[in-house]
Amino acid sequence: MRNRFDEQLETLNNELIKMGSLIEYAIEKATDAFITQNNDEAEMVIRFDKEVDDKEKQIEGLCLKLLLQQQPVARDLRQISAALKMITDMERIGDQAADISEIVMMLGRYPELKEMIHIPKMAEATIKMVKESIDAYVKKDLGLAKQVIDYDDVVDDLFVVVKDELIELIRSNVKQSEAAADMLMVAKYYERIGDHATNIAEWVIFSITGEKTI
Amino acid sequence: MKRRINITFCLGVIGAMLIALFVTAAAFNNLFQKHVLNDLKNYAQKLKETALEGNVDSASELILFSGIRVTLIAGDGKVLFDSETDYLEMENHSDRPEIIEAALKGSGTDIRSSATIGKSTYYYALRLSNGNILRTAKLASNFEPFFRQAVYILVPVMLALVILILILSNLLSKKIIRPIEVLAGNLEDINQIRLYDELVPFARKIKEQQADIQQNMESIRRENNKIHLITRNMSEGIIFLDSQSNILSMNERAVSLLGMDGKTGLGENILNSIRNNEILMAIEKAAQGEHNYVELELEGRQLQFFANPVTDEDVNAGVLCLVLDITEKYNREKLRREFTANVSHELKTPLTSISGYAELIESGMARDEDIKGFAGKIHNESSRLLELINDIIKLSELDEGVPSGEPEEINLLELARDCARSLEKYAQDKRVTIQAEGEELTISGNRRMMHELVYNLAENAIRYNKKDGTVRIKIGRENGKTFILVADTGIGIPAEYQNRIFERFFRVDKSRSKATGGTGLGLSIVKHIAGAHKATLECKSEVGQGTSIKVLFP
Repeated sequence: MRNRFDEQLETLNNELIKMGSLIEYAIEKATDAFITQNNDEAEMVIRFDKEVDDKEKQIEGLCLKLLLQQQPVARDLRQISAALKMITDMERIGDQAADISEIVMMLGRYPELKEMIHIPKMAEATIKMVKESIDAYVKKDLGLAKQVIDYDDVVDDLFVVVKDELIELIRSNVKQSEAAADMLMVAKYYERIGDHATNIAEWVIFSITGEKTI
Repeated sequence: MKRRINITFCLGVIGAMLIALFVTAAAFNNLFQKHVLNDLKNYAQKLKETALEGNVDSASELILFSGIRVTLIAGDGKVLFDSETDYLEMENHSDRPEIIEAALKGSGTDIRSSATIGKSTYYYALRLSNGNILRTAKLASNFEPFFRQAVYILVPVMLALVILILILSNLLSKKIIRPIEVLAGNLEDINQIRLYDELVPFARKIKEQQADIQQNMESIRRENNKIHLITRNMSEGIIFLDSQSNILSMNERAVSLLGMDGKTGLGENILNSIRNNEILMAIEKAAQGEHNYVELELEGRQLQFFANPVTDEDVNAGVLCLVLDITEKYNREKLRREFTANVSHELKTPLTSISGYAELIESGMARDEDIKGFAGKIHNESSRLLELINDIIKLSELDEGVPSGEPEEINLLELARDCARSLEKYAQDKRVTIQAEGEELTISGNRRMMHELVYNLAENAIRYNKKDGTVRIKIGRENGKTFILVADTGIGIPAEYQNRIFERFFRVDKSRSKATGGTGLGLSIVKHIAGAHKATLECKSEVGQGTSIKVLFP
């Protein structure tokens, strides 16, 4: 028999997946805006951040209510506390997608820069990480979660590559140094998003096994 | 049921026996009392008669041996004689019921029982002619002892009866219930079961209903199958969700279109399989009762996703989603838009120069000696325009897909030579030699279109040739297939553009289009004509070495 607690846990699970879909959408659209230099799309992503924030507050409220009213133990407690931590990481990913979009709106003058450097590749890798970390949560897939954690190295390496490329760019063409600095910011944001995806994956592992991997 | 039958039977038997016992006991009691009183009465009569006869001896004998107590009471209640007790000590008897009764009616009876000794005393009083009252009394046991004794005998009998009844009722109920049990167990072959008469209509009814149910089930299954078959073969994806967004049903097409994980199945929340925000938003809106749809790109496909609320008596019962693959339509639309943009551009360029030169002449700004040159340019541009419009007309004809005219036998070599001849002058201008060679082969098709095909290929070969280059038109057979090969020694086409050269208005080098002439539609027309004749095109090209295009007929 399903009691009210089970139902609430199910709702928490569904809301968490919904929030995952929101941030996936935000980062995909931000990347799209970055690559195609679409200011309208960038603006949309900045506005969209509010929805992510609202969702975070809603889930946070739900988690606290569950903790207070049901006083869960063991696995249920783990699931709720992991959810509380995960939404923080998800919310940060949403923020960073908005931050990238803000830079996109300033970067318009140098569209040719983007093709030269590895940022699109980095974006692709981070999107994959975010997607898979949420997939791991949905399917309760330990293997996939570990894969995401390992994949963070790829993003980190790409960040180093991008940084070198940008240093080279500044050296050869001082005029573009401002744009290069902005690009470095974008790259850093992607690198951070990768870190948050790693965190999400770690919380997925925690909620399943109760073990912290760090 | 069996238990109830047993209990009812037992209770019935016990009840019947108890009732019988009490009724007979009451009857016996009554009879016994009557009997004792009667005895007393007879005795009193006899005593009276004996006394009247004056036979005192026999009277006292009677009193002595009968064991019956005899009392003689005066009319005022004073005891005159008693056979057992000292009558002087006895109290006045005028208040005794039997005495009162006898004084009134001539005789009276009474029974007084004593609970302490468990016996009753029966009295009979008789009024004598002198006003005295003769009372006879007898102490007799109460009826209860007899009754108790009877019960001692009856209880074992009753127990035996109960056991017997239990056995009988068990047998009976088994007989009643067994066929019902068998019937319930084998509803399928009702005819094989032996039933008693009362059960037959019942069984018949069950059989009828069973047939009804089977028929209904069959029709439901058929209906279900039909729906399943329809949804499975639909090219659109269908998903039914309940109000909690759990998947109630979906078809394979939806799974493949939305790239869902085949593992997540029915009954699970849609969130577990789809996380596309646009789709989820659409579903959420539909769950709130709003029809809506989104167009989105998913894994390289252009999809239309419709979400409709399903209401049952004004309550949202779920969401019905429809997924359409509009990739082809979208691509066609895109192609059409591009084509329209290209056509407008291509038409506008010559017209701009024509209008410019004409304006110069009109305003008198052109000097007389220039007018001729301007007119030449206007002529050139307008013939280019005409050529373009002709090509567009040809293309739209070919788009209709029906080659006009009956198919006829065409001698390809003759056709090739024909084309070569008509392009001779153009080739000379470009310093290119053109030649047609090969076997005498015929195909069946539309002569005008085939001429157009060879002419276009040859013209392109000349146009994109180098100085002193050659163009070779060859007719031959290869693997049983007739082919036309047009090879040049021209500039060639870079590998990345080779699959795009048949697109409308596609040019490898856009900046040179004006200088080389041509409309950009030639190869597109070739492709369409080849398609209309079910021929295939092969293109081999190397930059700087030349291009060869082969048309292979089936």
